[in-house]
Amino acid sequence: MGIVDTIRIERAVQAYEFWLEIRGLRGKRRRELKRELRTNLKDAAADIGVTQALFNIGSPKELAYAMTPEAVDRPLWKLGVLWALLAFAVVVYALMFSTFAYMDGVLASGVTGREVTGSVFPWIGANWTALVEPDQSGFGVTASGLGPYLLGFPLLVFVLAARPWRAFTRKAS
Amino acid sequence: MSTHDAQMLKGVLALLLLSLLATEDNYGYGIVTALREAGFTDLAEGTVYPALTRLEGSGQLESYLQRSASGPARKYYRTTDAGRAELLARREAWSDLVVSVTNVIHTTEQRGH
Repeated sequence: MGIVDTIRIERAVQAYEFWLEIRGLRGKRRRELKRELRTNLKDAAADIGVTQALFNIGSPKELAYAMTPEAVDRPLWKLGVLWALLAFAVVVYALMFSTFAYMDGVLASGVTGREVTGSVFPWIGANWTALVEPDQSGFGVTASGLGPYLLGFPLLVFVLAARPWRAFTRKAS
Repeated sequence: MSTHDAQMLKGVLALLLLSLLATEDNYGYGIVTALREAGFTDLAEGTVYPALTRLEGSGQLESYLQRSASGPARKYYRTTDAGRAELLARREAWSDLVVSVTNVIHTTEQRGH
C-alpha cells in the first residue's frame, strides 16, 4: 500500500476516533475500535481498493455515532484542546493586527526619538510602547499585559469546550 | 447484483451474523466478504461493524485478537452461549415469519387467480 493510500486510511481512522471521543467513549475502548477499523480498512483496501473501502464505511462521523448509540456524558478533552488552539490562533492574529495598527498610528503622528505608550481597543489592560528613531531609520514596538488574552482566553475556551465539570456530575449521578 | 430492502436487511442482520459466526470465527471485513459471497452484495461495512459491536456489547459475541499474515492483528468474533441461544430464538422467529408471509402470499395469489 502506498503512502497516499495509508494517509487516506489514517485520516478516516483519526476522524472516526475524534467522533468516538465526542460521543464520550473512553480511551481504551476508543483505541480498540480505532485499531479494528484500521485493520478492516486495510483488509478491504487490499481487496477492493482504498477508495471503495472508504466509501463502504460511509462517513466516519456516522459510523462513530452508530457504534455508540448512547453518548456518554464525560469531559471532551480533545475537543477542548482543539478549540483552545483555535482561540489562541485568533487572539495572536488579532494582537498582531492591533500591534501593526498601533505602530502605523505612531509613525503617522510624526513623533520620533521618544517612547509612545498607549492602548488599543478592545485590549483593556494591555499597553503598547513604540519608539521611532529620530531619523526614522528604524522603529520598534513592545506590548505588555497580554497574558490574560494569550493564556486566559484560550483557557476559558478550553474549559467551556471540554466541560470538565462533567467528570464530577457523572460521578455524583 | 442483488438488492435488498435496507430496513428488512437490518431486521435480519443479527440473525445473519450469529449464523455465520456460529460455524466459524471471523473478523470484521471477513464477515462482510462472507455475507457478500452469500448474495448480500449491497451490504456496507458501515452497517455490519456497528451490528457486530452491538452484539458484542450485549454479550452474544465475544472477540479475541489474532495476528494476520499480512499485517496487524485482526479482531475475531465468535458466538457465546447467549449468542447461540439468541440464534435459536431468531431462527425460530424467522421460520415462523417465513411460514406466515408465505401463507399470506399464496392465499392472495390463489384468490387473484
